[in-house]
Amino acid sequence: MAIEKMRLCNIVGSMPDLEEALSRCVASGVFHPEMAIDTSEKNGRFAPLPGENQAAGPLKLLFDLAEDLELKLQAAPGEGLDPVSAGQRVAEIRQNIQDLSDERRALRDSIAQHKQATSLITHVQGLDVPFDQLFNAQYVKVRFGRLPVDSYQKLSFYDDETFFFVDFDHDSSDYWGFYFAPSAKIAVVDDIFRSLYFERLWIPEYAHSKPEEALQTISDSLTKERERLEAVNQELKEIKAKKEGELNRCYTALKAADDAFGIRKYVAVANSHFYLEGFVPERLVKKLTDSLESLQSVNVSVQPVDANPSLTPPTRLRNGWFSRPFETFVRMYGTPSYYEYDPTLLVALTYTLLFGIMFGDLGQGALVWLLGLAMDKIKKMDFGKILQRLGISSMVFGFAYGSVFGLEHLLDPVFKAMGFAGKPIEVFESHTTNKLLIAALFVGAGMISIAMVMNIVTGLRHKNYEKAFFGNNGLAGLVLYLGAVIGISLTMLTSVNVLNPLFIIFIIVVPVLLIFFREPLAKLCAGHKKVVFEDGFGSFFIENFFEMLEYLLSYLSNSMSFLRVGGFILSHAGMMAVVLSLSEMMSGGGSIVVMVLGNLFVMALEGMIAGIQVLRLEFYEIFSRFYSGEGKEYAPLTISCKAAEAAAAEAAAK
Amino acid sequence: MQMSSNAILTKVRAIFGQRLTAADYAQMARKKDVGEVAAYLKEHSSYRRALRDIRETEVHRGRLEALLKKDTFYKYVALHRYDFSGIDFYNYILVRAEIDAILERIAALSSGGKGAFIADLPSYLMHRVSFSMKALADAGSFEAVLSCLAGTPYQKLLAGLPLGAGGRPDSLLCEHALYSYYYQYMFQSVDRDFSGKARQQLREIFLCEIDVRNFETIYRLRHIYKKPPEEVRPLLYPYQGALKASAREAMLQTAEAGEMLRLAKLFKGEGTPDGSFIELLTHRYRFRFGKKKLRFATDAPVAMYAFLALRSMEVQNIITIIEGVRYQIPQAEILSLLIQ
Repeated sequence: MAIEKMRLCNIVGSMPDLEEALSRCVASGVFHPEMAIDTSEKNGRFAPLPGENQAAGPLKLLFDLAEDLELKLQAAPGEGLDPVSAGQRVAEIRQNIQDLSDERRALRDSIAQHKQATSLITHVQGLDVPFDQLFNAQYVKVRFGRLPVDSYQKLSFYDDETFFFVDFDHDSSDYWGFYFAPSAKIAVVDDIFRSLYFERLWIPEYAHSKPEEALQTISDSLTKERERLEAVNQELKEIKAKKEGELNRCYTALKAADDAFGIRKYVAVANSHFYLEGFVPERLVKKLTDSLESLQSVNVSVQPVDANPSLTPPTRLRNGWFSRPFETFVRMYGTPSYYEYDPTLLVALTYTLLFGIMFGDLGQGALVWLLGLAMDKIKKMDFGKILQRLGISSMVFGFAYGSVFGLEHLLDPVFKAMGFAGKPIEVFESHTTNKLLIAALFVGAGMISIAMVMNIVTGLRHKNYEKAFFGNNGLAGLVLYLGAVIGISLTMLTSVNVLNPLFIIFIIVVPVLLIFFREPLAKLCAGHKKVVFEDGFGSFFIENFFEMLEYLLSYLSNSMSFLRVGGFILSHAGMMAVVLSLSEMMSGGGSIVVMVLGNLFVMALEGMIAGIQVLRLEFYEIFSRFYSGEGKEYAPLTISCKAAEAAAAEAAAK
Repeated sequence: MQMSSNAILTKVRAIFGQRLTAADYAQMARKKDVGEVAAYLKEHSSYRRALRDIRETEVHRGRLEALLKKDTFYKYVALHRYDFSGIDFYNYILVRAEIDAILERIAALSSGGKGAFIADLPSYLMHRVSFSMKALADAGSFEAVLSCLAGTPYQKLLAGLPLGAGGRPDSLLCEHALYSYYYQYMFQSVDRDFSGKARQQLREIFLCEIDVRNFETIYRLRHIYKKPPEEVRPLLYPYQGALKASAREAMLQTAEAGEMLRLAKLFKGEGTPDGSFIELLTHRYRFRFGKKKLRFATDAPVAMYAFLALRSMEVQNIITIIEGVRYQIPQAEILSLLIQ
């Protein structure tokens, strides 16, 4: 449950050592670079590193080639290629398939044109005037084409110009027709229509007389061209199968060179020296300094994390095996800022607990665990690890509820053997139902209180006294909230009335006043001698009165939100009871099928709903009280293909 | 009200889920011409429906952009359909479109022609706005613009401005007057129509937008055009979000880009951009802000406003790619200009 401590490292060296220094920074895998030095000032001391990316051209060629071959490029481990040879190889292969890919492009264009011509002729079938007669007019120029519907409406804006547009067909996007203008004005009118995105169309020669014959000719051509296209595609597929491995190796080499060039943007140059600045985890600083030590001209200066106030330190979460997979949920909300608390452990514990409570079933929990195991081991998905934890939690609570795939009495002999009279928790008994709902409220109150404590600690850390002491989630809010929870609980559950004058004054009235006057009080704490209400006291009072009401309501509604935890226990048991009833209505194999399908249905539906609802509780009821999540991820320099290569090699070794 | 709110939230999330990814942008940036970009959008994205009738081989860049913008507007119309509250707030898109149209017409007065203005005019808004777009297009002078705006709040706002060269006020003054009205309208409507979290979050979104506007104004006028602080100050909007009034004042006292960024404290860890690309930095800031607001929005107006802002930025990204592809800019350079 920690955010890794960082140090700021400045690396300075002479230019001849730059490439080696960069490569070692990448190899160390710990250096998070920053654009710390301003190289954009024209007269500044520092300049960006000059140079040209030699890999960019061949890489683009390779992407084009891959597109022609419909090949998905990926990093290929194994024997390496240097970028120059890779570039040459790509150019050679490209040369070899050039004719085929050109032919395919030409065929596709031709097919598209023929399709368009077909559509065009279909549109002009409604015209009963021969085209030649229209186009051969002497004093009037005619243009045929289509005008977007949007532009058609704008024609009225030009009612002072000499032209008219005749449409003879339209669809949802265009009007098809002719515009007519005097020969002397045609240039102006052409400009107007061009600005309105009029798309001029040329009627093919063969359509000037008999559209039906033209349609037949086009149809014949289309058939031939489609056959040829099929053959060309087949040839390209064969080439793809042969060259795939080689092209992936070229991609690996070129991408690595391209990434390496990208790193150079972080380098600033002045007086034949290069400068690099970035963050390194404190415990890994030695790894960086050791790797650069043997370079004579290179010097690494390790400074405190806040040495350069213009930089925001990156966040690297460091959690134990149990909570690490839950970092995904925390990141989903936002990476914690460097100076914030990492809430991952809290999320891991509460999420696992709440999910188990809501989705308690020994059999279904075991299936969730197995599914998680498969996703983790086969698909290498982090979410699989989360599912494993949730599955175990579900099994534990399922055991307590005595529920196995919805069979509520299957474990009774086990409980009896353990010395119990029956199930520890009988969900369907009326007094248990009430207890479950009340327990859910207490779980909620506990979680909300923890979130408030975290908010207080964060406030104190940042010396934000309004947040720590006087806010609705600060100390005053915590006292008020806990006071209300304890007061109401004791009164309702034990008939002990704690609402005496002392309790009311110190636990309710004083905190309410502190929250109400939080802004002026915070100003006084910050050393202001006099508090001024900027828009007058009346406005301050009204605004805070309504905010106070909202806070009080939100305490209530946030706590009630946790009722869903208890509700889901009941709904899960209820849905499984329905599945059981349906199963009992069937006989033989049908009963088993209904039982299996019913379980799968409930698992998918309830599992997803419980998962989403718990996440909602985490984000809205817990995180919103203390967590901003506005940090930036720690991203050390890497060469993507090399990293993929290393990971693949490591996997192969395992 | 609650049901309609949930419907809007669900729809917004569903549409947002189909947004373009970094991989989509990378694919589009590698295309050889505008037609190929259009074909990609038609085949792979949520713009499929909007572009279904275009012919990729012939499409004009301007038309493609117009269609994408129109699609964003119709997304708004489709979402608005689920709102049964009848509140004014959702009209903001029309108010903004009116203001943008007026500003564009005033800016085009110096060139004389009306062709470019008419071409850019969103025809789907023509029958929804509070004045005649045709009269605005025909207006050849500032007085004519004012007379076609008769009866609207814009006329009074513009009529009060001091006239400069060409018998019309400075464009920056017009923009400031109209957008001051816009923000005032928005804050009033938010305070009137909403309470609690929705009100607070909407205010935060507008304040973020205003911060960015103020920052851009100071940056451009002080750093690029070297205007004195007293000329810039009246062009700022008197609201403060994360960009505090004290930081704004300190920014006015310097013309140095790096120092301004440091004082603003809005764009930590972003480095100093080229002067002409300051919008990239500010748009990315708004993008991150909007994305976060949308992700955790529980109120329909917040989700809808944030979504439409993000959708506009996505359209802007597509336009950047189209421009880049058209001028044969390398893929990496195009991608570096995107808001993401």
